[in-house]
Amino acid sequence: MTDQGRDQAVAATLKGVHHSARPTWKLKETVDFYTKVMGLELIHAIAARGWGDDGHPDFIHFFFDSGQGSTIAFFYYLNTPQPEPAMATDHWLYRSVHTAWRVDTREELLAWHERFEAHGLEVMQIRHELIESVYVYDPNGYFVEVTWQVRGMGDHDAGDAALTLAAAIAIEEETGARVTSMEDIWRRKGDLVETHLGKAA
Amino acid sequence: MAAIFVLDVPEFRNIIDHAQTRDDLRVTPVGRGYYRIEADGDLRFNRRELQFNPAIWYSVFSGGLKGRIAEFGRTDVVITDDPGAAS
Repeated sequence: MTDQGRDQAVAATLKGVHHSARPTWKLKETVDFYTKVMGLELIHAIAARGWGDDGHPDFIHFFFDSGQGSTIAFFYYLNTPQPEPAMATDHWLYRSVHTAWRVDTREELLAWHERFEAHGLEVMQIRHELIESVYVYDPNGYFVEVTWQVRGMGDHDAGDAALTLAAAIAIEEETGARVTSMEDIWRRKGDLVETHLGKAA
Repeated sequence: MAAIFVLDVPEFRNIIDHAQTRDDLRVTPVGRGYYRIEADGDLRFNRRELQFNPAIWYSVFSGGLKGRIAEFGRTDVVITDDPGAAS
C-alpha cells in the first residue's frame, strides 16, 4: 500500500494522552511523590545504554499510571549534570509549561486538594473560565495541575475561538510584529464578529 | 456607540442577565451564540454587580468590543465610543 493509500484508509486521529515526559535529577523524591503523595502505580521502567543521538547518555525511563491509559513519564539521565534553570521555577512563565490531569467531578478535585494538603504540600486552587484546578509543585519544581472541566465545549466556543485567533493573527500580519495590546485584539475581534454575523461594520 | 459582544455561555451569562435589567443598555441576541450589549454613551460595568471572579472579569471582552477602553480596574470598567470608528 502506498503512503497515500494508507492515509485514505485510516484517518490520522488522536485518542488522548499516552504519556507526558520530563527529565528528573531527583530519582527517589520523584518516585516517592508520584507513588505516595499522588498514589500512582509505577507500571513500567526501562534502563538502557544511550543510543540514537551521538553522546546520548545512558538513562532510565519510567512511567506512572495516570488513568485512562495515560502515564506520567520521567527520564533519569546518567552522567548528565542538571542545567542551571533559565528562570525561577515559581515564575509564571516557567509554570506555563505543565500538564493538567483530569478528574470528573468537583468532589474529586476537592479530594485531591485534601490529599495534597494531608501530605504537607502548599496547594493553590483556582477557578478559571471552563475549568477549576488545584496546583502543587512536584520535587522537581514541575507544576502539577489536577483539573475538573465545568462544562463541555460546544460549536459556539469553537467559532469564538477561531475569531479570537484570527483577530490576533491579523494584527501580527499587519504590523509584522507580535501583538502588544489586548485592547487591539478585542477591538479587532469586535470587527470580526460583526463581519461574521453579516452585519455591516 | 460603545458596544461589546458576549458569548452566551454559563461563565459569561451574568453580564447578559445584568445588562437586561439596566435601562441604559440595549441587549440583543445577534446569532452564532453572541449577544450585543450597547449604550448610547459610555458602557460601564462593576465587577461586584456582575459577581465575576478574576478569571472571568479580566476576560470579559473576550467576545470583542466596539469602542475604546477608558478604564479597566479591579472593580470597574468603562468603554467609550470611538469617534474614529463606525459602529
